[in-house]
Amino acid sequence: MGGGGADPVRELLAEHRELCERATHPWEIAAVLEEAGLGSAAARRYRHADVFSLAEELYARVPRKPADDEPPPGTPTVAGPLAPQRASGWRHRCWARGALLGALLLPLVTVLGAAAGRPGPAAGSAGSSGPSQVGTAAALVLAAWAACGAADRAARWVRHAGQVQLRTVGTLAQFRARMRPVLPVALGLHLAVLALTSFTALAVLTAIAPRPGPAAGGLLQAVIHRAGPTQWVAQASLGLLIAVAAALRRCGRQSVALAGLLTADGLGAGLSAVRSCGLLPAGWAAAPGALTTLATGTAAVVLLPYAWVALGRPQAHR
Amino acid sequence: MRIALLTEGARPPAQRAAGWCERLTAGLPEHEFERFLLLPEAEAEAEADAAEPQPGVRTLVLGGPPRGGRGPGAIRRRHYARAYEDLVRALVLPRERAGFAAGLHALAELAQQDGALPAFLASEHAHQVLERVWTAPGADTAAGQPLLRDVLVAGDLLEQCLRPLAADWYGTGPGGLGGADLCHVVGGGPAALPALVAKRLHGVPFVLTEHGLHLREQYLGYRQAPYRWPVRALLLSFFRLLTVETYRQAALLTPGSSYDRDWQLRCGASQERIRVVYRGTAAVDRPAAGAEPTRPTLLWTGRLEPAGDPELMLHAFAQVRAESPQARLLLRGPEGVAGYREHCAELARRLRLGDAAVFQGAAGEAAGDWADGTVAVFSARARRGPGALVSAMLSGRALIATDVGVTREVVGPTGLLVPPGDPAALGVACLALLGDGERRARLGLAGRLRAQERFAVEPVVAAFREIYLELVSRWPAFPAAERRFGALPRPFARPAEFWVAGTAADTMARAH
Repeated sequence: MGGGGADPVRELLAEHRELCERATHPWEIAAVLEEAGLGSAAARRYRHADVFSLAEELYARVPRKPADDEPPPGTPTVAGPLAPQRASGWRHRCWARGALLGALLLPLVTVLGAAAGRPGPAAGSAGSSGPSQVGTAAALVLAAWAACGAADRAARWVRHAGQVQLRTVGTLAQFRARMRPVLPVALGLHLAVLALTSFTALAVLTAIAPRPGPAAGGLLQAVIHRAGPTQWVAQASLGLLIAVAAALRRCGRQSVALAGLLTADGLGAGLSAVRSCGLLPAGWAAAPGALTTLATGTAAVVLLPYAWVALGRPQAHR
Repeated sequence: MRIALLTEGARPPAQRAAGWCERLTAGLPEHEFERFLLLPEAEAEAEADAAEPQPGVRTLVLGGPPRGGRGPGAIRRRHYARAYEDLVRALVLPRERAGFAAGLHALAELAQQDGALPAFLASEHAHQVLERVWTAPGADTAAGQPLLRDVLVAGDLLEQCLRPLAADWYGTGPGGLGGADLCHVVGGGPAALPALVAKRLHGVPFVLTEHGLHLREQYLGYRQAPYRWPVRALLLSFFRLLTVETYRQAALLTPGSSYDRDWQLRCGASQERIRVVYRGTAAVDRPAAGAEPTRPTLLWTGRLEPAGDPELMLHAFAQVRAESPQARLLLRGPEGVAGYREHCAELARRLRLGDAAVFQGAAGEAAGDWADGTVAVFSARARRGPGALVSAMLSGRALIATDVGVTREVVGPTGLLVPPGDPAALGVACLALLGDGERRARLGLAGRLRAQERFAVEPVVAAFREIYLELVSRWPAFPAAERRFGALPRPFARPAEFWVAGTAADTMARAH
């Protein structure tokens, strides 16, 4: 009879070692053995009644081995059945572009609104002339627009970090712990880039159209004082809003990102309309950047915690 | 009788009963059939394109992302989590296998109340439960600890498998499983879930027909799946426990062959509740292939892949050609593994077969396709379904096959059987048949008659007519009328007069 020697199963075992190490149950071995042409008749050569008991012996004799059965990268683990639809329709994209443009133009719109609504007192209370304010606002808009690419880069980095963690991390808690610093770092990077572009834009503006009157201090001071503190705050909150929206969009929450941007747009437009009717106190509302801060800051304050929670979840990065 | 036919849309071809259900329903016009279909995602889209839904067919999409829906509230979520935890414990802890059915039915009961099961299973809470149980001590993670991505992937796959629990099919009205007299599950696996739930809720018995066992297909299919070991182990464990539970609860199992019956017995089915019903084919009426070709030709058909073992055929043919130089070999079939046709052609060159071994394209089903051969040869290492063998037998050609899987019971004494992987035996058998025209004719005719008798549609229809009547006769007439949750209704618990008289309230009303 076949096999030979005292242990006929040994040869079979050597032949199917990989199968036995990776099997999850004896029946799996039985199914594969039958597929390889080893029926119950052949099992008798190995002193077993049928292929099932032969499979049980094989399963018992070979220990399960942690195989390096890494699936090819990117196949089903990342793009799982629940992967969010990445390809959004053109209509959605148009809306997103429009909303982003609206958010970017907010500083200019609020300043123009102030200049058009109450030219005399507003300009006087702000302590600066209208055209100069418009120029500053335009420079800030250009700077924010230039930093949008950085926002998208940061968002892509968030997503990439999430996917890398998703591939390597062991537990949900670990994933959350590792993802915790990712969003703040991305936002910080974007803010740094935004500060740089804003500074450059204002420097160019100062060089082209220097402010009338005595120039106190060097160029650095002149550039920083070109925009008031509220305008810097407004620029920062706008940058935060855009970066958070970009991160949400990259991680499959397009509609939330769009809603955040639209909220900021609507708030800004509404507030400047209210101001032009004279319903807002003249003091702070007329300061350049105040309404932008209010509008984008509100949207960012709502979006930030949401993004913090949502991007800490593994589902967002699949 | 109202019969609910539960099927799964598209699995691998062996699993797919294309047209089988239609032939059954056409053969039994006295019964009222309702179809319940589980569709994979791709077919669901095709279905949506096909405009209006067919009457009497209810569908549920089993693949793709979950279709919206709200998750359960905070309190219900705790119930869901507990039931899901029971189910997962049964899957990963070898000691708690027995809790599978309880967990399944608890989930089904919750899903019946609010239908939030898919949303719950896709949520983070479900993933937390899965991870907690899976990484608990005692879990079966011999060949690899589950990582976070395994938890996510396994969670999604489980969600898809459990989707039938949340279907709106379990009402007692028309079009609901509760109103059916009998469920007929074709295919097993997730398609059996609604039948299990209907039996538990309404006491509706079910019969399970499998052509190619679902569990075995999963074992073979998951080896190619790009999942890590823990995911495979969890999912296969789910399918195994589901199969065992289905076999235990089914009123009757009708496997497509005795070969499958052995597997079912192994999976815990009891002998007296199994009845083999061969799969009928409409091709029995087609005429036999015409005259044999002038040059003696061996016709090999099947997919060109290692499992089909065309190499064995080539080696055997080299031996045949040494004895009978004018013999020819036709290898017909599509390429199953890329580059394998070239590999086989290279082998033929090495064996100096010259142009006597010819490779042809895809094989058809018609009788004319067998007319090119003098003898049909099957050299596969495994055969799980009878399809190709029956087609060859119906052509009236003599047949040589390796003795694997279902071959022995399908071919019986009407063909030559050789052990698998033995080119010498196959060569001798080929020579014997090629050299004996009278024996070829006798075997061919016998094979055709055997196939016509066993694999016709009428025996299937007759078998199921009897099976349906027999099952229903052992079940009470109105199980829904006096059902208690969890308890199976018994027949003849009430005399016939009870049902004629109606309920007590009706009787009182009529008396006044």
